[in-house]
Amino acid sequence: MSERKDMTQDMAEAYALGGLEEMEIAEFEAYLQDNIDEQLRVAALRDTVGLLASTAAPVSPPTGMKSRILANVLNGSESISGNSKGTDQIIGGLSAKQPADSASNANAAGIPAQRQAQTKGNEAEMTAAQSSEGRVGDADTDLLLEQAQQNIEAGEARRAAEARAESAQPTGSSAGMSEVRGSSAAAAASENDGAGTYAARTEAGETSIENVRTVREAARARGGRRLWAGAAAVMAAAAILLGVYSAQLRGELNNMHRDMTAMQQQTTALAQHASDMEQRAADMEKQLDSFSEPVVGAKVDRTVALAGSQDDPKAWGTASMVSDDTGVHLLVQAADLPELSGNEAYQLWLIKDGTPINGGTFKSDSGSGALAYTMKPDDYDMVVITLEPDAQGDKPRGRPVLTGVLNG
Amino acid sequence: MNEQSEDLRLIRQIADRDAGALEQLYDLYERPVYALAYRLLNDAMAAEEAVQELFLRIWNHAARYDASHGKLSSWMFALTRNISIDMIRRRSVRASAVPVEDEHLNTIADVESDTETLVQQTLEGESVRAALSEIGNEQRQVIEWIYFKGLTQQEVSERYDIPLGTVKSRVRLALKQLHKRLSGMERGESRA
Repeated sequence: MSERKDMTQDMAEAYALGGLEEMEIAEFEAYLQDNIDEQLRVAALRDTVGLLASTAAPVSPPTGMKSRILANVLNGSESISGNSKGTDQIIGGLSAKQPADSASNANAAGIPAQRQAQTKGNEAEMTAAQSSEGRVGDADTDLLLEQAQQNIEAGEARRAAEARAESAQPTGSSAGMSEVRGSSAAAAASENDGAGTYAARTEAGETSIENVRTVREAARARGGRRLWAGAAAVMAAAAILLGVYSAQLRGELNNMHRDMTAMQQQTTALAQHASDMEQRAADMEKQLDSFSEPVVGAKVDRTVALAGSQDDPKAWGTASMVSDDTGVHLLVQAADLPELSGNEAYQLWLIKDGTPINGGTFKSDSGSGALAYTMKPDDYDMVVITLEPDAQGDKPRGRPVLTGVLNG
Repeated sequence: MNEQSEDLRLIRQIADRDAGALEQLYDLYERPVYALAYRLLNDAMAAEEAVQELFLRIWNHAARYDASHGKLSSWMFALTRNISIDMIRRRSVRASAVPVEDEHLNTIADVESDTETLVQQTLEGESVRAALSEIGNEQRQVIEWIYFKGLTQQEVSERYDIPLGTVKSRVRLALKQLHKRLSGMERGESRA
């Protein structure tokens, strides 16, 4: 193990200089990922290597190069190398970040889930902003739900008050008093709108309910018919106020319902996606065993996410280890792969102690591809998919497009 | 005053889509990155293409630059090298399928030149060249093959019939010695 670590450490200079094979780069970057000291050492080596650039003989750039380049760049010109479009490489340095992201999502739907979750987060924020002019991020969902519950309780209390008020037959003689209460409650409500927080609204709801209670108790205590009628009018006014308020609450609740429905739809879509993948995995499984008996009791032991390389950050995929009574199979699925041209093909490699083992080649169709490989032995460190000039190689010649860590 | 903090300020502004900052960065680095691309590609048009690709990536992905990975100039040179080496590789793939093209294209060099910048660039180059000359032929040679010709250690081993282990140890030694000799410069001047 420590011998292995030393071997990897020895790659730092060649890595910084740019002399490693693609496979070695992937391996070294995986090693670099959680090694801060080594990252610092590599950064210093990069600076040394950067100085080499200054030994290039000074050449005058062609006339007008600056205006051409700046115009092209600022006008959103496409990247000249199709594959590196959207690339964000920091020459290896950044890749320390990418696998970290993907590692935290090491499950079948990990990457799409993360993407959708981000989209969802934005949507939720927008909806919240629209409905209440408040900032309610998705992190506040729990709080939101709790508040919604409080709102519902407040609503119930208010409906009870409404029922009472209706039966009270107001005479309208104490309109002055109800106006006072009405305006103070309205002030509270408008303040709440300004602050835009659910919590404040809930408080307002409670205050209003308290007002109603106070009025009700006062009415009982006095017992006088006139006063009672006056109190009833106050209650009616409060009830109307609460009615308006409840309509607002209902609106918010509806918005929340909509959000939840959207979320549920996305969850369903994700589940569908996952089950599609499983279905496709199962299809491949069938193909694999088409010469033998149908498989009984195949089960997925492990699924890891495959992360796109620095040049292909959009590519993603999964590698699932499926075991059945015939052995352990690795099912690899990839999507958003760069288009192949000519004889080019994708090739799967299983890496064990730095040695790539040919796992077979496949062609992609609209950026998607899949491959099954029966593992023997069943212990590998990494899976890597490379873009190869043709499908005939038994050693990696092209660049890695997807990588995933199996033992990590 | 501090070059690195100025670079950092510029790259942050570029990440915020500040076109003026991109132009400033361009002016600061046009010559050294073009010189490097030209050195690698030996073709003015291809070198310009590489520099354009470099600034396109900077414009679109400035936010990904992380100062903990080294200086901005190191990052830019590494990107320039990678882009250029990729172009060479693609070119050689094409060249093997198509008859060799004439790479010598007519380009008119920019007549106006900033003498001060040139001198500075040359001076720095001189220091690095001096350091390179001190590290021994064999080590200098692997740096030339790998950094400037874009070969991997494996390819150097195969092409020049040197055991892979020897190539690797030369690379390590070369970089360690260069690092030692140039460590003062790394923290100081690097931009021309």
